[in-house]
Amino acid sequence: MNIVRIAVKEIKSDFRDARTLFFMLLFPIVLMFILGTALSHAFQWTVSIGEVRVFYKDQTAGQLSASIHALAQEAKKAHINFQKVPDDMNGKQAVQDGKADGYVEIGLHGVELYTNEHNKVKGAIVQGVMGAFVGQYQLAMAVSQGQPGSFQPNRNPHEEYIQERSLRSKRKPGAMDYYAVAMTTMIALYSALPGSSLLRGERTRKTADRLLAAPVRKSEIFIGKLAGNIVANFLCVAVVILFSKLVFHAYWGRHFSLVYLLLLTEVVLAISFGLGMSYLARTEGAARTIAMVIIQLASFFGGAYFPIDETKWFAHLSPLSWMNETIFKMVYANDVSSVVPTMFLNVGLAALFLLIAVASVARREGL
Amino acid sequence: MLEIKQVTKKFGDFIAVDHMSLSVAEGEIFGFLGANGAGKSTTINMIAGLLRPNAGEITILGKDITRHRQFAKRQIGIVPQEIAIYENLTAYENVEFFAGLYGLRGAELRQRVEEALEFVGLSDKRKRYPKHFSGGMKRRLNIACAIAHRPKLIIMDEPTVGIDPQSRNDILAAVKKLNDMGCTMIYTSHYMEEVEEICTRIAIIDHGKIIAEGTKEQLEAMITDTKDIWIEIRGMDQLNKQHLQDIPGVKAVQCEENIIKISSDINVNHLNQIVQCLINDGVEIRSLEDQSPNLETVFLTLTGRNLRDS
Ligand SMILES: Nc1ncnc2c1ncn2[C@@H]1O[C@H](COP(=O)(O)OP(=O)(O)OP(=O)(O)O)[C@@H](O)[C@H]1O
Ligand SMILES: [Mg+2]
Repeated sequence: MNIVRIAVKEIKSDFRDARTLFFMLLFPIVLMFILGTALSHAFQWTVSIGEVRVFYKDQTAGQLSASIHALAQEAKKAHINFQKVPDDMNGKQAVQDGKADGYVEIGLHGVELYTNEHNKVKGAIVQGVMGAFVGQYQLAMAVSQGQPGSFQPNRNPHEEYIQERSLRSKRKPGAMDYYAVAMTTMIALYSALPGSSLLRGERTRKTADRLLAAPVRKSEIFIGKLAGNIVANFLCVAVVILFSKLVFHAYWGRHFSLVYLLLLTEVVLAISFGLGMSYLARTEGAARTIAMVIIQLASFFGGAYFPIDETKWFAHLSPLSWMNETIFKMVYANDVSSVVPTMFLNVGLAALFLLIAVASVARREGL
Repeated sequence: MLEIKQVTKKFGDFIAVDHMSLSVAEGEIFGFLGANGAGKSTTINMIAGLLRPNAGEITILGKDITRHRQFAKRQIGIVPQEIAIYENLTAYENVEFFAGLYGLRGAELRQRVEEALEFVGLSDKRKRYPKHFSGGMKRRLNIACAIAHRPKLIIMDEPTVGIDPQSRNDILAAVKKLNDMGCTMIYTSHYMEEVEEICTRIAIIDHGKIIAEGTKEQLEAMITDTKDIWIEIRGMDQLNKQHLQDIPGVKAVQCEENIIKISSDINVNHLNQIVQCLINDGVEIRSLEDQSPNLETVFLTLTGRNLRDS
């Protein structure tokens, strides 16, 4: 009961805080609007992701060969270029070198697909296309992420050809669609700021003494405040998503509840990170500054302001990279395979930061 | 009501409270008097369960506070030295939130909150945010947050710091009224007059120790051999304090702006010598007052320091 009381108080005061409202609601919406509209022409989305190049070798003839040809024709409309390459060319190497986003080998034994693991979005699209194609023909497919041999039997032979995999989808991610996702994942990360003063703020405000003088356990204060903040920040994120969807008509795909769940774990991660920082840094100001700098770097390298080349190593250090990638895969390739791993990653890191905070709180006399 | 036995609190090597013992009976207004850093707040925070003593025992209503933590906390209402309220909650919500933590619910909660606000005279401001409050109003809200759950023991840590005389009188009146309603009070202050006015018993604390304890009369009786002489002068920079101190019977000399305060032996008449000394130094005497002992002199005599050095 005390936990609920503390959480409710937390939510109430968060939503009355001009800074929260500005950072968590106004800021992302305005940025979304500016970037989404101003960059809608300059935005090179269709080039950077929409145009997918697939090399293929066809050693068969007849039915399968004809189908592949038909697929290639069909796919062109969706900016996926199937290009037949000479037999002596090393397709796998081409994929590794980034010359192609996928390499398909059609042999008598079946279809083998190679994608570059550093190019997950395009890889996922190629995988989706080939999966659907193979599904249509009820063939087995060996999907390989750069290393051939792993074998994945087709699970749903009645899957609709290509269309199901969003290839024919009229939807192409425009600037607004991109920034709707990018800004939302970015402000979820901003939850680190209130997180950094979650308990420390009570200390500087001296209200910690009042809380501790009341017949309330430290754990209740801790959990109540944490829960309240998670709810408050998540509500902001939810509002931003809805706003982008209803007002800006950004596309969020069909797995709406998964998107929410994923962002919830990101909010948990961000708040825990801020909280952990507040115990590692010496002062409240220092904790806030560190959190702010890390948020900015993560935003920049995570593609919050413009898409980042996925092949660069630093692009994968930002939580926003893995968040955005997971969401884009889910929204545009209908691929939910990385949702659970991403959630685990977020929650796991959050647990680490919370552990730091809990250990510090348990050790000290106050909060 | 409250019993403190041989309590010690260290911060690292620094001993903030040193083997302190005292007891407060039900119905008392007990005053803690001490200069900055004497250990008043530290003692209070241990009573309220915010700090753990390194040694010693504290009991409330006969129960050890470390073993009966929740019980002890329910008996106490603490008004912290620094204002501890939420700026983003209204006056009403602040009191409601803290009272709620003591298990009050529904209609009872609402009624107690109203009572507490009424008591500190903030009823008409209940929907306002404290950021628009004056210092005095914040102090009063700080008190309201501590009393809504009707504690048996109310501890106020310098509740009148930095406020106007009117609010201060209101707060002193409130302390007395709470006491009349049956609350035992612990009151700390820098202001001698306040403690003199309202406290039934007083402990003088210095360097973490109680150096004297008793009623105002008892304390004054301890030093009946001392009186104060106040002299208003012009030309303080010409004064040599040592000359005054060398006069037989002079115990301590304090200089503040244009006032010299001399604590001296009540049995020695050396007024002529003092005046002569000042004239020799070339300072101009504007007025002179001979005061009989009060708590201020008690404090000065016992600690060798002025209560408000800082
Ligand atoms: N958390 C702490 N860590 C280290 N030293 C402390 C801590 N709290 C208090 N002290 C020291 O203990 C001594 C007693 O402090 P305390 O706050 O109890 O004094 P006080 O009598 O309330 O003074 P004041 O009138 O200024 O409020 C001071 O010297 C203070 O510097
Ligand atoms: Mg103090």
